Amino acid sequence: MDEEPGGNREGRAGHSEVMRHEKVDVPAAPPAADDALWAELLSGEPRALGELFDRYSRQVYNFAFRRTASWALAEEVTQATFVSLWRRSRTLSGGVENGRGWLFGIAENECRNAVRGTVRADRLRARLRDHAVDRATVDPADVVPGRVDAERRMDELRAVLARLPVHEQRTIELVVWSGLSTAEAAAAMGVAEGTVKSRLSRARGRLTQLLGTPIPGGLP
Amino acid sequence: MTDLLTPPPEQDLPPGRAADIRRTVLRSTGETRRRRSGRGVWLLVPAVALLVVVAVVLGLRSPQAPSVYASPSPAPSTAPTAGDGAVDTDAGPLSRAEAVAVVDELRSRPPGSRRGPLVDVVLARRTTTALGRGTYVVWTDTTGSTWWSAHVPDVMGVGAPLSGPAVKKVARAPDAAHPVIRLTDLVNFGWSIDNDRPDSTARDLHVEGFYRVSGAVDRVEVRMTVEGEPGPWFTAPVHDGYVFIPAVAPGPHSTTEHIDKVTTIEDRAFDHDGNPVPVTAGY
Repeated sequence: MDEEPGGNREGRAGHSEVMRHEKVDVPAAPPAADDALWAELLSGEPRALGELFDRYSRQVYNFAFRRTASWALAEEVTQATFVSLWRRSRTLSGGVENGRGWLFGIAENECRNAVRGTVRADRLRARLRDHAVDRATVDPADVVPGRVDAERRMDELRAVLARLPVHEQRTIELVVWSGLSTAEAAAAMGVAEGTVKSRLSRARGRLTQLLGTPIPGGLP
Repeated sequence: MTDLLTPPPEQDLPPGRAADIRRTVLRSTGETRRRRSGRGVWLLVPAVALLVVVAVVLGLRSPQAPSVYASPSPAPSTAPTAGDGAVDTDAGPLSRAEAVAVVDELRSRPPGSRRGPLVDVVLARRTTTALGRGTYVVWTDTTGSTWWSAHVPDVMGVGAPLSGPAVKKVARAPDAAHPVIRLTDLVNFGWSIDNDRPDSTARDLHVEGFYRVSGAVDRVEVRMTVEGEPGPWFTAPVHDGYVFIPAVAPGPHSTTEHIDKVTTIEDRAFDHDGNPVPVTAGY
């Protein structure tokens, strides 16, 4: 392929597939010092932004990947999220009650920006499907195997998740995949914490039904 | 957590990219401070004002602009007049050293390894719009291929492209029957959504058209029409058979529809006598 990013993937699988179990790295709960850091950010201190980037960029990056199924888009979203975080911090009046939830809320919007603004990737996938491009035409040098495999797998997983209502998808992404607390997810989505809990419960029921097997251990 | 919904293992940002992104993010804090202190704003305001004025003038001339999203038409949608007050986006040449640095940086990123070492910089120019300054570079490599990449202004205001530098091979040359080859997909355009009102306000719409043209072509123009309101035509001079045109519609655009449903992107081209010539997709 002659284009990047995202130019070397085949189309979406379009069907659900049972995944093998792998333990997910659930990010640790934010340290207590976070509050001071968020306050420092709101006071206009760039050092705090750097510190927050070091602390959370990996989480944002992986959240964005799980949303977009593209490592390249995830990089862009990560950058845009922290730039936006700074800009928003300069205009926000009052404090931040839940910094990490706020950050993921911004990341959520930036994912939407990136996906909407990158129609190219979808069109490229469509062209790949339409013209049945032979895999052999893809130069192996263009491919980083582990990352491409992850993108394909994430595509498949998203096809499963897409069968849930959007707000339940978001809840799964934030709480189950990204390890946010229900309070943080509530802050990210701008809803009450109880709403997050009920969405989780409904998502669990729906997934059990869709996948035809009970969800072991259930969702948190 | 369920076995059935386990995502791929988490990964770190690629080596080098984390530091790049961090630097860019921290640079944005200085950018914001400069903007807030007022420096540069006086330069931006006249540019935006100029765009608005031109848009109004063209709007009077082009009342029938489509209000629904459509693929760009190779034929002009309005009665064309060459040189019709289009906004020039060219901002002069980029130095060879800067162009080489751009190419080196692009080759350092996967899948850049497929591109061979630089042989020659064919063309390297700066661009300017109301959203800021950008660059584009056309170069050849040791594989015998010609590539191009455009760094468009970052709508987030940090000088790096939001969508990343697109790198594409120049695959098709113009001929007599196809004097203008469009090397980009104009449907691929971007915008920024207000974080507070994600579905109602969009700003900084931008699209980039890149063309390879024959000697018969004098100019190529691109414009965006948002909710039936045509913006100005943007253009750039032909250099070495190439034309790169960033077109913008800064907004903000308040709409109850997704912005891509109410935006139309058009391009048109003219020969040296001012007659329209067809534009052919060749990306």
